[in-house]
Amino acid sequence: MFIVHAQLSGCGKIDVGNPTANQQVPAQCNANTTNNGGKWPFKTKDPSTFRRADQGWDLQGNSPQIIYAIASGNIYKANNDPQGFGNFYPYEKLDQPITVNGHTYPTVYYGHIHYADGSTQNGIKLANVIGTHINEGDAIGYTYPGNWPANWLEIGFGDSVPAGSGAFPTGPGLDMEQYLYGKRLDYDGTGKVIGHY
Amino acid sequence: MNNYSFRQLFNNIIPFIRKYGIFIAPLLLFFFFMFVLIFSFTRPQQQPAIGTTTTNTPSQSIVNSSSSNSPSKTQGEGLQDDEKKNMKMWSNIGLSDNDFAGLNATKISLPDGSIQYTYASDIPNRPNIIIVMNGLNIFQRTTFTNTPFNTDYYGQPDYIAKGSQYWGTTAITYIYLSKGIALIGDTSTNQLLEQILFQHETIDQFKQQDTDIIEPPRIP
Repeated sequence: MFIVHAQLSGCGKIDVGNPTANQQVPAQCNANTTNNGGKWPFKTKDPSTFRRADQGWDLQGNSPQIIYAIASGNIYKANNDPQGFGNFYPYEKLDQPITVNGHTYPTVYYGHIHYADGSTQNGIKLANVIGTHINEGDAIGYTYPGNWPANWLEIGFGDSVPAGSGAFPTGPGLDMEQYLYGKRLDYDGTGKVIGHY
Repeated sequence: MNNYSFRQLFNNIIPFIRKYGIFIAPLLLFFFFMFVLIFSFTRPQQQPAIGTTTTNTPSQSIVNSSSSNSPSKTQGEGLQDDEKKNMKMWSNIGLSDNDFAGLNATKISLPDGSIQYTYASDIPNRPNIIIVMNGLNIFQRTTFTNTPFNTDYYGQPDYIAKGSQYWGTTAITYIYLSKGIALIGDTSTNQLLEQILFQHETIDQFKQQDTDIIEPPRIP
């Protein structure tokens, strides 16, 4: 029998993959309100949403997206950036810093989105998260349908300032890919993915 | 004594201004504008763009209490308008079977040696398609829902094609060859229907891939 464990935010630990016949997923763990317990900022993991790695990793939903926290921590409003990430994007100070390839990151930014502000988005009432503590998988924001390329998210390490800098893809951008997706995507066809730190 | 000196000075200045005022006024104006100019250039920005470490902007509701230990903090790392408009949307991302796990994708080998992955989208009978050649994503067709047909972001398209065999006569395709993206929208509802990301750069190559176009693409 094949059983894996998935940590659903606020839902406890449940068995998925081959659950018993009467296994019930708690209502608050419905796929509409969480990212299915996965360490993923969109509801579903789909390669058609993958875009380039720059300072972080760009993802584009094929519809307006609710954004989910990829780890637990405290949410803050980032500095205004009207020509870049916008004036209402959040960053998260992680409960536990994330270490990838020997680089430790205490914060994650969610660029190009609007933080959850108490409004209803995509039929989901979102709590205002600014200044609050959230768990992995909690809804923390939503994408814009058209200000940038539609339904766009850049997720990366850093706060109001991305940790990644210099030529693309940056090392921290690829580190985010590796943390979220388990590997660094190949952007040049040679298999040599160079990340600039 | 002081009053006398002041009055004497005042009595001398008034005739001086009356006599040379026409020359003095433009000079004062010139100095004033020079001062404003220099002040505006040397004054620090109140609304920092991304890349600055200032955290107490007036509109910020929560003060950044963290002093991040993130490495390589530099200024000016935000995406600017020019950068966004010149941004190539297609990325030659390497993909393999494992990337489609859980999507119930159908895998087909095409005559040119590429591999086509097809899997369900939010639109019935209109699956998403990703074609991989030598391990790299070279073509991607994705349906969109609940998204406005916003073409302003990408600027002037290289080609426009009217009509779609699948989406109907009110569909229009904006093709941006240099950016590797085509947007198919509905002009009657102003909704984005589909997005195509592609590697190739000629319109003939694009026409071979997007076989739904009804009218030949035209330069707008």
